[in-house]
Amino acid sequence: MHLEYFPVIRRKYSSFAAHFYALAFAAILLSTWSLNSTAGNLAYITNQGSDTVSVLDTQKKQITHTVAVGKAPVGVAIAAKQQRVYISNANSQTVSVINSTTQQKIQEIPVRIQAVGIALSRDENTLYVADWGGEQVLAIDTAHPEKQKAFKAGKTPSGILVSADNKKLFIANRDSNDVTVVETKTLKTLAQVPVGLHPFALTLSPDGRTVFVVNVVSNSLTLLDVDSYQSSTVKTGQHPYGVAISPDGSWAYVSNNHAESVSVIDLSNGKTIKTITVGEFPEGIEYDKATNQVVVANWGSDTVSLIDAQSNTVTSTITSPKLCRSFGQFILEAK
Amino acid sequence: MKKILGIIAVSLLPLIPLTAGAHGAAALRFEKTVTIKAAPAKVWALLKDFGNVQAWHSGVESTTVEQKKDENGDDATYRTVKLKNGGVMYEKLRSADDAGMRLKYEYILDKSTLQLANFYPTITVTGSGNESVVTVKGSYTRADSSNIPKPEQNDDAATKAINEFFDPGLESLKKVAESGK
Repeated sequence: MHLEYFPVIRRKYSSFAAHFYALAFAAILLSTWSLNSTAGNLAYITNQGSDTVSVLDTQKKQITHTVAVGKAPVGVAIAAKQQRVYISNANSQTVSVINSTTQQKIQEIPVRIQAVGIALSRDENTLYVADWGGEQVLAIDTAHPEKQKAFKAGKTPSGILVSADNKKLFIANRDSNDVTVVETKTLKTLAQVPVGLHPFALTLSPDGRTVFVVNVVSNSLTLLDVDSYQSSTVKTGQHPYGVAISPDGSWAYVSNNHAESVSVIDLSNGKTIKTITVGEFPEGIEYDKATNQVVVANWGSDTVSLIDAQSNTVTSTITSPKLCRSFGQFILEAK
Repeated sequence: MKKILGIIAVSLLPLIPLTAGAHGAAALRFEKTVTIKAAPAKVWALLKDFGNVQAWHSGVESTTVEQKKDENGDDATYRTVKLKNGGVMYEKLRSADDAGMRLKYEYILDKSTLQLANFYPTITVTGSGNESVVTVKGSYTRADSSNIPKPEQNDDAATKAINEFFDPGLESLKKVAESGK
């Protein structure tokens, strides 16, 4: 290397160093600020009627951000490691990607399907998106979202989730009344398990052993063993649309879409111990471990109900713009 | 997984259209109200009579009621509403709550002609003295759930069908209830 190049390099280096320190300082400021401003877990509430996502701090019981996304957002998938939140948009037929530290939309992925059910592989490398208008699910490479592969599901695939060991994808097929189990490695169907009428949303037990599926028309909840596919059924309220399980696996909370209520079900005996009145057409529901609250999006009332899981009473009702849904697992745990 | 995805580029399977019965992914919501100068009990009596829609809706020719088992094997009441314009609506009674003056029913597209699906109306009567407020609200979706719906079965067509049934219906309900009868 010739001597005359050195000044250039030195100048570049010192400029780089100055930027580095400035950035580091800004990062420290930012992280301090964000620790203070968002202390709790964040619930991502999709507002189908206003094409936005509300970011709800479950500790503060406040909406801290509103993020513009695609048209008719429905489902949520949380990528905690990537610090990304993926939103399925039914009408724009896209997936919006939100940066969960800045709460800004950073990308819009075309999927060309009515995107509803959405879930991530445990390593967050693959995003699965169910096609409401077709009998298929897409596997999308999160590092290269243009790489998409379709594979077979039942009729009107709705809720989807990945098993704790990352080996299986469970798909609730609303119009074929069954659950398709897909091997994530090969994208081949392993099993097609009949459940109740119109299975819609599903969730996994905290121990990863049981898949819970709500059957909209049967007014029931199916408990499905992840390995044997043996199942049992318990009664819910009218038109169940969502289910959440307490961290100890003892209680199921079911949103009854046509009864303006949440059923609290004792999973040791299948009995409903309480029916809690919430807003109209409650849909997305999840248990927030940090605050021991159950978060419910009320599509018909444009509100979110926060239920205290100790007393099983509604402690807050928060307004969210139009037609809120939050389909899927929508709570990001604070670090 | 990443390798598989890497090798196979964008290769969407051909989209398979679904039959009627399924519905659009994003349900729609509607609400209509009418204020009527008549006692709530009188208005409720008209609305709760599930097999007599023609008594209050000027666009209805006749209503036929039948009892049968529903999809869960439970006893249920269904009605076939024949419209004067030739349309047919097949509906299932879900509840008729006298204390709350609230009627809930379900519209079944498979045996009907109006192009909307997953339609669950609730009709409520409130008010006091000689004034009633009737509220009709509910959720519905378009009839064609495919990713590119036919124009006659899209969201707009579904909304139009609801308006064309309820707008004149609530108007004639008001007329009938306010008449001396």
